[in-house]
Amino acid sequence: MSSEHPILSSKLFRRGVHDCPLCATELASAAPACSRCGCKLEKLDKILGLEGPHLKAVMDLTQLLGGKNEAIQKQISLIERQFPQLALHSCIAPCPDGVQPTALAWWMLNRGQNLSHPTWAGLLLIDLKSSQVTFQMGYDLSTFINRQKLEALLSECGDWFSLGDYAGGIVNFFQEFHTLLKRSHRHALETEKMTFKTLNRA
Amino acid sequence: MKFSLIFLLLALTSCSKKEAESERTAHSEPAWDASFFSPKTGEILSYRETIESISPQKNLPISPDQIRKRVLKRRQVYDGSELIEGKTLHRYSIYHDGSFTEGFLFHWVNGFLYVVGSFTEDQKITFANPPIPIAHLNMIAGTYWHWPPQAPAGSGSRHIGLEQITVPAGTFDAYKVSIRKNTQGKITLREYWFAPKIGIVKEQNRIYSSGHLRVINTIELSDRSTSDTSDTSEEAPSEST
Amino acid sequence: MRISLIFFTLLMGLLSLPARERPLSFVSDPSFMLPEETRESLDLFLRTRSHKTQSEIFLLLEPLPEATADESKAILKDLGHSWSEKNWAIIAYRPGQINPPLIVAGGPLFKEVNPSAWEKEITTLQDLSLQSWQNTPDIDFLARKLSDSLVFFSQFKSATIQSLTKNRNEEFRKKYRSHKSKKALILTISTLSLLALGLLCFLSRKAYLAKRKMFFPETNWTSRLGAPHSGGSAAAQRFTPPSE
Repeated sequence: MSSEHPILSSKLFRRGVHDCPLCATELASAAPACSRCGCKLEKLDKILGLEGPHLKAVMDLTQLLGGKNEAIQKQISLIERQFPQLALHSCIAPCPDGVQPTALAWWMLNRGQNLSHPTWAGLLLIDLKSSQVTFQMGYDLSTFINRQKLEALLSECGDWFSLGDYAGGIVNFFQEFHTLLKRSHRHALETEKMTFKTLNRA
Repeated sequence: MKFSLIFLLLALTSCSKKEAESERTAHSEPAWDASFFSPKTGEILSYRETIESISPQKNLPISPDQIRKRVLKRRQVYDGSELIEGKTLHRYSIYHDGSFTEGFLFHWVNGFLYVVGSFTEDQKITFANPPIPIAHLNMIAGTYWHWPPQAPAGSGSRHIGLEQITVPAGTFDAYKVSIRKNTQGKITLREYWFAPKIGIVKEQNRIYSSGHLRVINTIELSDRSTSDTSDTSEEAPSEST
Repeated sequence: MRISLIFFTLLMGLLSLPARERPLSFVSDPSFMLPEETRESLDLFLRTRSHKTQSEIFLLLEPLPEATADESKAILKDLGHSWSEKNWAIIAYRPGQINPPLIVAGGPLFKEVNPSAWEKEITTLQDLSLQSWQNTPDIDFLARKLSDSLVFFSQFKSATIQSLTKNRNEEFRKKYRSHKSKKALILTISTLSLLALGLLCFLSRKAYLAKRKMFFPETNWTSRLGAPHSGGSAAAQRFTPPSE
């Protein structure tokens, strides 16, 4: 795609921020551990193990989706068809005790099996215990997605969950995420174009 | 004869603007178109009338000596108009060889000129049933004037067209009208030439009965005058036997 | 004698085949049946009529090749069609031929008006001409009266054209209306086609966009927290659990 051009730093496109999955402290780049809580992946490995689950598009460990997996799968396939770099997953599962949903999702993305594009992956995790929904992204994907907009989408799908329609909420999330992706892609291309223009002038 | 008189009268009848009032007249009818016809009171049209006939008993073949021929002098005098039964009717008096023969009344309505009746010397009026259309303000060739319903079935006038006709009084541009009637085996062919501003300048009637031509009556305009100063002396009818 | 007469008649018939040229005079009287004055007067009358109107009458005072009335009439019709482009009639008086001696054929005008009326007219005038005081049909009378009728009928057509015009106007109005409605139809179809095209373009573009593959640019990033794939970028929200 950009073989003719130099690879740009993610900082140019940075739209999301990196937070500690445990304490939500904003992380400095290349931090080996959280400066506040000392969080690092090894710590979670000790709790959850070194091998993560096989991630699929839909993982319904609670049987709450009511057989509507196909609709979610269809929506994810649609996005992945248009954005071949991405690998999207969804999971409804009760988090283990002492593990926050954001931490679990982070661990799953890093330790999950058969990830085709792990750094372009996204995982939507719904924790019924804490009534939280989180969307974890790989390094590459998180460069282009605005976190605030993502939070708005999560809030909206949370409304669906409140009504008990988990499948509808997940489908709705991915639909809106698809739109967000397109806008983000347009923005990214514009930024790239501007950057190369500036570089060429220089 | 009677029919000839009718047509002669009709010749005098044409649309005209009635402006000068005669001592008998006070009318309020729509005026005629003076450019089409405008007789003046006392105006006289003089005609030469030729009547050829055979006796009713004669059959074909007819030898020339069996054809009777008479020539008469006819005058038609426009007497003016009169209000009769709410209508303005125009009067024409017919004189044959100086003697009053008959009078005719005509009426102008909806652009048509009709013969509506006759009167005798003692002014007794008889209304015609039906009134016969004679001329129209806007005569279009190929027009067929249907006669009123009371007329014999199929009666009507055909307007042939405008053509030049030569009579003793001169050559005129006149509208030729042809009428055909068939009443109980008696066929009458009439045609007359109506010249604007003048009236009928020529007329010919053929009467057939029992499969033979019986009468040929031809009337041709010979003179026009505007006062009663024309020759009124009687002229003995000429006959050929 | 009879044979000679028959031969002569046949010869005359051969000489007067239907393909003969239009005569110079309207009165063709080789045997001088009519008095000269009558012939000239009638010729002048018919010629004047022909010039002023769309009607022509031809008089043929001569024998015709065929014997029967219908055959003679057919020949006259052929002659009339070839001689005149106007409305026409031909009167043929066939001296020496008895049944019937007088044949009249008329032109094609009246099929638009009333062909039976014309035939009736011819019959009536023929009949009246035979009732003349002469021992032979009154050809002069017949020609003049027939000319009048011909003129009248041709003009009558014109006069009835008022009704025909009215009908034509009605037809024209219908046509105009249908033309107008055709126009409206064309306009509607064009508009619908444009709309359909627009819709098609829209759908095509949508389909294209749907099938189009989009790639984000590659970037350099730095790992953190010892995580190889994800550095903890996430968004989280709480939701109200559904009521039991």
